[in-house]
Order: sequence, then C-alpha cells, then structure tokens
Amino acid sequence: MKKDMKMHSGKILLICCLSAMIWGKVWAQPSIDLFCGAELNYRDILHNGRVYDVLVNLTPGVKWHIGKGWMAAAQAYIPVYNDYGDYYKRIRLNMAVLSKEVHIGNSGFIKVSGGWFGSERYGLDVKGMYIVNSWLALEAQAGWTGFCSMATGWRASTPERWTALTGVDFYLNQYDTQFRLRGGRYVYKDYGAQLEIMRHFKHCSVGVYAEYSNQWEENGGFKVVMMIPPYKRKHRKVNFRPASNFRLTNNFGAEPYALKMYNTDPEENEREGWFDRKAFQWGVNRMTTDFYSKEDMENEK
Amino acid sequence: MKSKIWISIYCLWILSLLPSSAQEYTGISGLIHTLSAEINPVGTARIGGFFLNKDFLPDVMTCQSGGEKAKYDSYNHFVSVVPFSWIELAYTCTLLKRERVTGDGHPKFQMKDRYMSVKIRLLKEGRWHPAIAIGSNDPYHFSSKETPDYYTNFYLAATKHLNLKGHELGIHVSYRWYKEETNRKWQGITGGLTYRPAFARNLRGIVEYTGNDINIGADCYLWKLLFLQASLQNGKDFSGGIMLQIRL
Repeated sequence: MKKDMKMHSGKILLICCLSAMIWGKVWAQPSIDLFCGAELNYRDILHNGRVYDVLVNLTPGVKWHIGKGWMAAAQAYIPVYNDYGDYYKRIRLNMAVLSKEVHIGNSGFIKVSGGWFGSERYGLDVKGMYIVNSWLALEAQAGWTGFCSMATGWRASTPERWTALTGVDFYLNQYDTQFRLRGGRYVYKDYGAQLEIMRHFKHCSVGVYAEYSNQWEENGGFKVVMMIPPYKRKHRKVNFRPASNFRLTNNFGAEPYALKMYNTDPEENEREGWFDRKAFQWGVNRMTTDFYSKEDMENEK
Repeated sequence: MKSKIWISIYCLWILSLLPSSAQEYTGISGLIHTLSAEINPVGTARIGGFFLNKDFLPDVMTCQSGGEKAKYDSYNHFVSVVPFSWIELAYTCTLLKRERVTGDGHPKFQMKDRYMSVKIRLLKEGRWHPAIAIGSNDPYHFSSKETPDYYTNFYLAATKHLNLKGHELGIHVSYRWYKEETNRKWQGITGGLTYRPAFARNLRGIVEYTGNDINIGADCYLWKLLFLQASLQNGKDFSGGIMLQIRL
C-alpha cells in the first residue's frame, strides 16, 4: 500500500514536471557560461587539537542556457585545502542538472530540475513561487531523490526519499529586507521550520536565521552572499567569468544535517533566488542588477 | 582658561598616540573596553582580529599550566555588520587554551568561546541631547553550557559629541551589568573621552575608565579599508588589532 502511494506520488510529480515543460515564454538568446568559484567550509571539532578544520574547494562549472527556459548545468569540486579527511580529497563531479523554467503570467513561476543535485542527492525537483503583491510571495518545493556520490567511487541508492517544503516570503521594499519562513520535510527526513531575515545591499546580502528541527532541535546562524566582481560583463555566446557569488553560512549549533536541502543550480543562493531575474520582478530582483552589460545600460537609458 | 583646556586635550591626544597601532575588540563600535552609543554607518561590515592581553580577558579564562590554573594572552576574530542605521551585530570567537589531547602537557589554543553582540540605538544624537543605546555581548550563551559565560553582559550607553572648531570631543558614559561574577570588577558606571583632530578625522584618541582600569589608546581608519586600534591597559599592558572595514 505504502509502495503504491509512493508510485502514485511519483507519477504526480512527473506529470507536474512534464506539464510545466510545455509552457513557454520569451527567453534570452542561447549561451554557454564557463565559470569558477570557491567554496569555504570550516568546522570546529573539540579535542582534535586544531582551532578549525578547513576545507576549500574550487568549484568550476558550466551552464548551457539552451533557450526557452531550458538549462543544462554541471559543477565539479577541486579540493585545494583539506582538513576534513579522505572522503573530501577527490576531484569529483558535484552537480549535473537539466532544468526547465516556466512562467505563468507575471506572478507564477515553476522550475523543474532533474539529475544530480548538490549535497549528494539525485532525482527530480520542482520549485514554485507565486507573487501575491509587491511585498508578499508564496513558495513551495518538492523533491524525490536518492543518494549519489563520487567521493569514494560511485555509490548510489534508489531514489525514494521525499522532501516537501512550503513557505511565505515578505519583502520590505523600503529597507530591501526579506523575511522568509518555510518548513516541511527535509533531506535527512527531519521535519522543521526556518525563519530567515536577509538585508540586501548593493552587491551583498547578509542575514540571520533561526530554525527548529524535530531531530536536532533549535539552531541558528548567519549567512553572507557576496556577488563577485566584475559587475560589468559582456554577454557573448560563450562567456568565461568568475562564479556569480561567494556564499557562506555559519551554523552556531554546528549541525551538519539539520534542515538540509540540496541545490539544483551550481550558483544557487539566497540573493538571486530560483528564477530568471528579469522575469521574476519581486523582492531583491527589483533592486539595481548586480551584473550588467553595455546593452543593459543602453536599454535603461 | 581656554588655553588650559586646549593643552589638556593636546596632552590627552599625545598620550593616546603612544601605542603604535589599534580597535573595538568585539567588532561592535565602541571605545577600547567600554561602550558608546555610536553606531557605524549603515552597511558597514567588518572582519578582523585582536591580540588581547591576559588582564584584558575575563579572570575565569584560565588553563592548567604546570599544575596550576593560570591566565594567558589570547586572540579573537570577528565579523560584524550594521544592517540598519539603528542596530549593529557582531559574532566573535575568542581562542581558549586547553591541554593537548595528545598529552604533552603544554596548553595550546584549540577551543573557542563564541558569542554574538548586539547594540540597538534608542535615540539618535541631537544638538542638545546625547545618543542612547542598549546592548549586550553574548546575550544567549550558545557555547557549551559547561563553559562559563565569559562575556555575557548587558549595558545602557550614552554618547555626546562636541564640535570644538572642527575638532571633535566625544563624551561616553555607560552602565554595564555582567553575569559572570569574576567580571563584576568591570560592572557599574564606566566611561571615556574620545578626540578626533580636525586635521585627521580618521584618527581617534581614547581614554577610558572601565570600572577597574584606566586605558588609553588610539584607532585609525585607513584608505576606507583598514581599521587599526592599539591600547595600553593601565598604561602598561598592550592589546590591539586590525580589521577590514568596508561599506556594503
């Protein structure tokens, strides 16, 4: 019975994905972006004699904007400094995703992704947002994933884990401040909720968050998303550039598994959100764009 | 009379420049150890670290050395931000020494005390009235419950600046309450004076009374990027640090 329900839910998700892919809209010209960023991880383990354990990865990636909302993306990890141990020492693929973004009018947005996501998950994922007004938006995310990792050779499990989140976003336009409350079932089967308050500056967002998980209880921390210069960029068919952002989350409780979700975009972050910036005109996307080209400036004039 | 005031201010400034470099060791704006009601401009972000001499640190911060508990010099590092014009937040880690697990008996830095700081300005400084702020270091002690509340304190601060022909004199008074009993020497009324010369507005001389010590120091903001501070506690023990300070 339980298995039947799982299969039934899987079919519903598949139908959602396919129907979302049928819609279309006007999109930017196809292009390929080759980029590289860095990821800083640190942890503080008692009794190992070190103040911090540090793991620094280079994160080269590629995004192929195929057109009509389709995008193929991949990202690798290249460890350059590793105190974390052998599990993290290999150069490996971290993400390989095909996604399709769909806009329903000016207020409905859906993104369907399939493939290998971050946090060693693979499967299907659907994200959606609905803009209610200039300060209120609703969001939801559902995923059907399994474990997949190249850290110690190929290891994978059958995708049978469901994640489902729903939330509400408030944006104070006068202060460029976003409140995001969301909750549901996360990757490690814990149920919980997270409240995040982000203040957006010209090229940087900083915020604090508090969360509660039924397995790991209360926790909190802060987040920083820094957009990486140069901000003036040329749009060609093939672009070589730094990653769009550097992102850091400091977790006070040092809980690595509490309320964890995977990313479906190699450059996903709290500032840029899930959808095409030009289409999703809400919240921080209504601020001056981080990256602009000569054509963008001429269009604004 | 007027010339005496100027001579006193000049002497104070010269005294404050004696240390070679210098800061506000939690990342939050203030004096050296005492507090002010000032808040940095909105969007100011800081990341940096300090050397803190052992007498600058809480008395309960000790480690076993040669069979006895002893105080030690330490370092901290922090990040801070001013998200709105009325609030300043910081996250600070102070390094703690512990005997090595491998057992050679020599204490080594291998732990941290972590705490948040917050300062909220209740009243902006006006022509006739001072700025007033409330704040706290480590209001919620989220490190291990077994470790002492090294820094937990709450305060009320007032600051008024006087413009003396382009020179700026700051008067800072605060009341501070500490949770940890051994920190109570710094509890009560504290205060200090700051001075910014008209010809170098990025430079600040400080003299302060912490409730237990008299500290002098100076800080300097260079190239809209680097903030340095140095201080002498009771005129002899050096503490100082450096931070990257930018406007987001």
